[in-house]
Amino acid sequence: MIPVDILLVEDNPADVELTLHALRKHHLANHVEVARDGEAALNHFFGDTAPAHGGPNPKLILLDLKLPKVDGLEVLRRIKGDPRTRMIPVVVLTSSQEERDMVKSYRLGVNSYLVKPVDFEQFTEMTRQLGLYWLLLNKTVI
Amino acid sequence: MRHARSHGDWERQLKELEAENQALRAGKEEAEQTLDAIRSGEVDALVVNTPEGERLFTLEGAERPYRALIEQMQQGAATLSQDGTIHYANRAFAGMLNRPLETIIGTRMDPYIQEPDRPAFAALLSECGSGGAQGEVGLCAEPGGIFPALLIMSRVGQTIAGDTFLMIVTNLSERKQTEQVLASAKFAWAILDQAEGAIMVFDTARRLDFANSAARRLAGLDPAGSDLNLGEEAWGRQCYPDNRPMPAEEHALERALRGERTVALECRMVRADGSHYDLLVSGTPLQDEQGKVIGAVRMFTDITERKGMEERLAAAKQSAESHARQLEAANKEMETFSYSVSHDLRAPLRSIDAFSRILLEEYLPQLPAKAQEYLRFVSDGARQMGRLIDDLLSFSRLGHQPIQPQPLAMDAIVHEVVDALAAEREGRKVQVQIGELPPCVADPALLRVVWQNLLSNAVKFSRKSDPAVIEIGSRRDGGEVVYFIKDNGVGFDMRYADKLFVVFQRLHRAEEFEGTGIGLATVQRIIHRHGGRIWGEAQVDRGATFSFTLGEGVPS
Repeated sequence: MIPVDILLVEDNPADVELTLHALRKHHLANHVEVARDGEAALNHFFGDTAPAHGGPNPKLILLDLKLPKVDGLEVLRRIKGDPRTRMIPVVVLTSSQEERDMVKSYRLGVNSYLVKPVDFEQFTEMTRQLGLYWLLLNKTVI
Repeated sequence: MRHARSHGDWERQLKELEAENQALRAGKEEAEQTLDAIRSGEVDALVVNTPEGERLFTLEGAERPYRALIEQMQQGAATLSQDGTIHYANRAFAGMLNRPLETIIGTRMDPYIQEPDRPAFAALLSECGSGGAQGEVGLCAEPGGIFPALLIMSRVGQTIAGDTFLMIVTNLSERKQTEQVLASAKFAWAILDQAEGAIMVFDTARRLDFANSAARRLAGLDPAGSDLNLGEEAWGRQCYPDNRPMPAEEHALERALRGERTVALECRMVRADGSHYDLLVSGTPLQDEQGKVIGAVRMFTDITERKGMEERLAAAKQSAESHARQLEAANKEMETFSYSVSHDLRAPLRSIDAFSRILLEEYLPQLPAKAQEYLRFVSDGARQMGRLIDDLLSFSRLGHQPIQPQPLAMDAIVHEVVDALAAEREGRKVQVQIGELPPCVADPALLRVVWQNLLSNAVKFSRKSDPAVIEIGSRRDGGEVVYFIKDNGVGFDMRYADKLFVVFQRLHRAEEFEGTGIGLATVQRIIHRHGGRIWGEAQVDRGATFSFTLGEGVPS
């Protein structure tokens, strides 16, 4: 099984493509898995066929907040509430500038909270820095 | 005491008495000459010839120092012998009887007392022998008139002829006195009757003895009527302010009859037809000297109008509160709306911007020139809309964010903002002149937004000037500080000045000067929330000046 570097939880196909595009541009997208809703994200770790059963955790979770079925905050709560997944860095990557979302996320133990810039260049630059920092600079407990 | 004797009777009697005294008078001529001497104290006694022989009159009973005093008294005074003969009398006594003083002295009291009272007088005299006595008799004045008088008598000494008595006489019917008493009684009654508050007096059987005009009006009684005892039914049923009937033992009247005082008890009187009026009731027991309750005074004020006002006020307050709740709900809704705007409108925008840019960057060689141009429009449009969303959101947040005013150094804030916007002036010749800026009281974050917008505008609209000159300063205008920022840019047409501060209204074309049309609306909202004013003045191509004040206090 190929170890997953990043689990990208994002329902919007355009945003998925943009994120992958930015990561590819900077050679950071080798092992990205995409979950298209909250339930799929939880299945990745806690489902019957979850690779997390014995398999290595991803180095990073990129999490959108507005998701179908199970929303991002609930996904965050479950991941940070389980000893098996608690150590995985989670970065919320959202369009929401609402303070209440930010406060809730930090209460739940998010490692970073980023607002997706509207401007494409800024978005690409942010994704590059994000990938570099969390995948290359940051040391993670695996 | 009876005073009703006919004039004729009186005159007849007087004639007899005068005749009776004729002898005395004759023998008293000498005495007349010495009267002054007696009063001045030069003589202590005199002898008068009477039909019964010589009689000795003395003033031994009155010590000399008191004579002058007695002379000056307003009340009548006389000394009498045991048989009622007047040894001495003062001028006031003579005045009461309206007779010359000299005709009185040496005569007996009897003729001056109306006949029916003479035995009473005799009794007083004999009673006096053991010290003192007092009583009322009718005295006869010249030329005919009987007045009630209070006699206070005391034994003052003894002479050869027997006991001597001092008699002090008070005229009880003196007209002037009566008038005064009557006037003051009328005055007191008028006060009671005309008093704003209603006053009622009850006896212990709860019968109404007195009700003033206010009380009668309240009960709907004829103001001049005398039938007061209509019972509680006429007044309505006494209830608590919340319409619950008040038990009888709680009524101010019942409490007063039990000897308790009640102060300002609020109660509602409910009439048989269901209408009501509100009263503030006080009750006071009436007690005799021994403290026994002999009646009760109940006072009350009609507060129906005031209560009505209070109720209307409460209703108004309730309606205001309900409006406030609606407003709060509307604000909440607005917040939710802002949230979805910020979240949901951004994602598609990012896609439009991003993919048009990827096409331009990565597939440019394959695209015809027109396609490239169109893609740039798509990309610019998306970014402009992103700015609009950001500005609109911060503008709407201003509406319900609490402001936190504090004393601020205005010049420091302006310098800070000028430095922060240095990037906007890059590659241009822009002179920013900062004059004197007095401190102010304002919300620092919001004040920064004001200067950022105004300065950014000044820089933007002076783009075509070389050099661009921006002047920031202040002036005093009738005790008020007016801050201003002036540029030498393109200005604007004052005909459209009313649109300056309206959301989305722009006075310049987008391809000339970019912008969202929200900046000045935001600035105005901030200034208004500080209780200040803002206005702009300009001439086309001659620059613009924006001025604002910050109000003294800060309304929320």
